[in-house]
Amino acid sequence: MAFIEIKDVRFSYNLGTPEAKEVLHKISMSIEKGEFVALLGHNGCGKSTVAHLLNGMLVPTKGEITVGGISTAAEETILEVRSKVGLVQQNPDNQIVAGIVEEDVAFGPENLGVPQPEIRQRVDEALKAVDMYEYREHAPHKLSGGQKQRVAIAGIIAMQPDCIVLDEPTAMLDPRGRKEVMDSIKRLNTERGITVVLITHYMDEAVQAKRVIVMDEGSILREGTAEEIFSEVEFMKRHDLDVPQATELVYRLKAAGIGLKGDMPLNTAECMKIFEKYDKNAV
Amino acid sequence: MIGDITFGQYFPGKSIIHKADPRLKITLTVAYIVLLFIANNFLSLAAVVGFILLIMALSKVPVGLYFKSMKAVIFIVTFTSILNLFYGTGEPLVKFGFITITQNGVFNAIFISVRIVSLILTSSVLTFTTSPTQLTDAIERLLKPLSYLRVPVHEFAMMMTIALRFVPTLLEETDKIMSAQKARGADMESGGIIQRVRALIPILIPLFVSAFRRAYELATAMESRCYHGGKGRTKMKLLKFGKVDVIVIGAVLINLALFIVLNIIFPPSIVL
Repeated sequence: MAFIEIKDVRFSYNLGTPEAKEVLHKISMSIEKGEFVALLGHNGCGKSTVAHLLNGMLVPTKGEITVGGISTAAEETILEVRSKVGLVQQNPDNQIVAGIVEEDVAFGPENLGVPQPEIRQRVDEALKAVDMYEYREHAPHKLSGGQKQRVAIAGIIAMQPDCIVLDEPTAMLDPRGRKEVMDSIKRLNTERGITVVLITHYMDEAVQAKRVIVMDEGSILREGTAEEIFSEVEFMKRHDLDVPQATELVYRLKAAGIGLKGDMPLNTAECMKIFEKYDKNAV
Repeated sequence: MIGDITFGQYFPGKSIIHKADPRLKITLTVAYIVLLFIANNFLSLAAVVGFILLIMALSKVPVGLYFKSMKAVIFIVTFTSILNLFYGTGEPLVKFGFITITQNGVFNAIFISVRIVSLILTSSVLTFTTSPTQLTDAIERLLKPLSYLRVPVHEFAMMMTIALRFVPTLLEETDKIMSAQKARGADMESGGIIQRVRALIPILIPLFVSAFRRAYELATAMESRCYHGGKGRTKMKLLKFGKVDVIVIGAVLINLALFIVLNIIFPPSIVL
């Protein structure tokens, strides 16, 4: 069994009221330990609902989700689920609890009842993992957006989870902040083997994942490697989704009848390789 | 304009007073405020005020900050001392028609202003030298006995922590909303008091809506991080009673003894 199993899950908001609306229609997926999964889809497709379902903030209306074999629906084991799957939200301002960086990072371990000397150790380690150690005594409101979001991530890391779910963590950040946060996320995945589920609008971030899942209208449309998903440019466009800029460029050039060879590129470097192979006279 | 609020501001430092246990500081602040009002002659009052001034000097906080904290109470101080000046009893010193000033009135006026000023200074020492987290931590510990009476002490402390954490965030947001409303032609600077209060409505409503949204997201974040009340919770930073605190207590005891002796031996300078 995979680390996280989502089986035939349906979910409706406002259940039992006239406004009840099903936002997830029988979705299933499994996530293995150490994976880096990106979840794509435009607004209102149910991505955020999935994020909240993964650590038991929401419970499926039908079907079941298990984390390490434990159901997220059971009240008595919910803390165990939440300490295994951490959730980082979009707005860093609204997830920082304490007025000093290190105290905020300590919030999770304190809730778990970790002994005092170990908390200190975990906090320092978590702050180092996101490169925020030197800011440990700062007030969060004086940090930049990217720094705040990294503090929020450190707050999750300090609980030593197996998996982090990030719900559009870079949506409110400038390009520099986005890069800082993405670098931290990638490092956590490769160096510490933490499972990452990244929900994003930015295709350039999604291509960094090993597996991409595309959602629309509460269902899973496609699932595959970044190469597989983004080479289907028409499919993505039909569902109002972007593709990375490099992919888009090659797609348009091909459509214009320019004979480029090779697979669809996912980033600038791959794009350059295709251009280098281009032979004007071959057409 | 909004950035000017300095009340409860923390001034980081490494002085003796900064290092003292926040629980001790809170207790002493309360005790000294009480002493200020028990003192009934100039000498015992001087003993209390002198000690407060000593603590202020030891705190190494710039004197300017203390003066700044006085700004808010200047009006109250002048108002109450003038009132006291005219309402004295006994032999008049000066007489202008219906206004009489007696020695007792003058003494009362001096006493009341010294008391109010020292009261503000004492609490300023506390807030200048104690970080908000230390303050809430200390309050939580001091009020702990109340939790046996089912008073939700932990929840109260958590609310304070969050409130303090969000003060700068919400101030920033208020500024943004004000600019946004001004850009849409809102007029906040002219008109009478009623008009000005009315002009606040388009600022307060968006502020409240956003505060509720923030609260919802914060609750999600806290629950995601396994928050489940104060039960079984540990703390990273433990409050420790150290050498500094012993020295402070020693000094306080000497001061207290001096105060009691002075207060008993010398006759009261004021009549209440």
